[in-house]
Amino acid sequence: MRLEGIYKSFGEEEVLHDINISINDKEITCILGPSGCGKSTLLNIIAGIIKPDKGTIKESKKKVGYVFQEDRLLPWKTVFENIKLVNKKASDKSIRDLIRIVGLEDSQKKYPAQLSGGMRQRCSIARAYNFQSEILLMDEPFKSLDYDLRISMVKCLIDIWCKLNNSIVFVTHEIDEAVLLGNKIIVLSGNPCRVDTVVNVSMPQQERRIDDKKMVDLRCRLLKILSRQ
Amino acid sequence: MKISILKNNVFKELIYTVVSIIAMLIIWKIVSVVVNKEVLIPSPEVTLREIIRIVESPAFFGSVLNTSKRAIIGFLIALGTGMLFGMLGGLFKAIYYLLRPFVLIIKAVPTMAMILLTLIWLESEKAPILVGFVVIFPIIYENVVQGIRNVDSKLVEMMKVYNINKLDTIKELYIPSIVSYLNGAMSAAAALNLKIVIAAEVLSQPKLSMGTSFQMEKANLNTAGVFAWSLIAIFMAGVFEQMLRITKIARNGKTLHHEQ
Repeated sequence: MRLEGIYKSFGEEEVLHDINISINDKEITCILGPSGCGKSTLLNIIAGIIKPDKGTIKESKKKVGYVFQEDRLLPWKTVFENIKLVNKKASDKSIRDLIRIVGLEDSQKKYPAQLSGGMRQRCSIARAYNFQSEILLMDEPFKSLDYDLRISMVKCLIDIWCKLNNSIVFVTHEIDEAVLLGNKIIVLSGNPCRVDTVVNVSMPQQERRIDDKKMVDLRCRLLKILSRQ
Repeated sequence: MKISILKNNVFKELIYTVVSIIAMLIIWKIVSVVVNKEVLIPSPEVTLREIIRIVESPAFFGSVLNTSKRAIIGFLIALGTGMLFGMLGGLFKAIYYLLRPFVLIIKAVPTMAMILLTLIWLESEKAPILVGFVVIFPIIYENVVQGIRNVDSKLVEMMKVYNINKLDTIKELYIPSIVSYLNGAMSAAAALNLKIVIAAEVLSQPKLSMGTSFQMEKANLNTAGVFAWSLIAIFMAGVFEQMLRITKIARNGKTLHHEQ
């Protein structure tokens, strides 16, 4: 998928300015930028929720799944039922497999209110995978979680991605998340939002450690880019 | 743990209700002694004797059954149409504005005028059903509209992103979302409906009904009989409310079970 010359304004305020990015198949593309810079707007344009004022999205017909900042699970449905909701044709076995992959096998009959924040987000990730999407869009999905849980959720996502190997666009303002996840990290600047830098990371995600020297260097580099904005 | 807290709460609720009923009976007895005229305020024991007499009379079950039948039919029609139009009105602004004058008129017309008009239009057996329907339809309708409007917009967006069709969105999101609004509306409407149906029967005088029985007791200046039928009506309203409560508990049973 490729976004070319995307512009978007809300009223007189320009939010996105000449955005040109490509999303590679079977890779995790991280979109990193300060809070409120327009990352979610960009994701909503990719998802087709909102239309750009100008610009084109090539291969926009791809089936897109979405993991929101909040879990957005139906409170009256169990984990199993919430996952089944988006693809009723999916077999019970395939849903149970997804539940096992996200580590919720003991909670499939539980309701969202009975789950922790991390478990709810894992359920919404499983739901997005059950949609059989070609691209999975994730809008700061671990924002509401504390640091330790966030890092463990990132590791959990890497495990899921290694097993299911699809394309992911992961929006975040947390450098650590981008460093651990991204094959490609697109750094955005704010007011209006533009592409500042694109960083490719070759090290496989499973081998990355937050205290690894290469990752520390990458972290410092990204921090410098963000702090000069 | 939660089960014992729940049982404790139910026990407390029962105790308070019993204390409240005893207090009302004492006040009633005192007032009847002070007034000292059975035709104005009959004593509780005289009223109890009247209840026994009425229950033992051959027409009792027929009257209660006919009135209940009318109340239930009116209630179900109002519930069905109220839900349907409420959902349409909640989902589509145009339909809401088209229906608004009708609902406003139904709400504003005095109940007595409505009873008299339905008596002109319909036979005495059916008129109370229409009156009950007309009075409770706006309650159900407005609660459903409110429920639909308060559906979490983020969940609606989620359903759109996942291409869930309109019918499934209504079934899986909107209907469960309006249930809590509907529960409140149904309890209020059930008791009101019974009162309205009986009031309509008082005027329409169908063959066997609670309203007709009220009118007979009044014509005979038997105030204790009127009191007795009133208590029977209150008991019936309680039964209707309990029935609604049971269906509500049955619906929420799964969730309650998991919360324990």
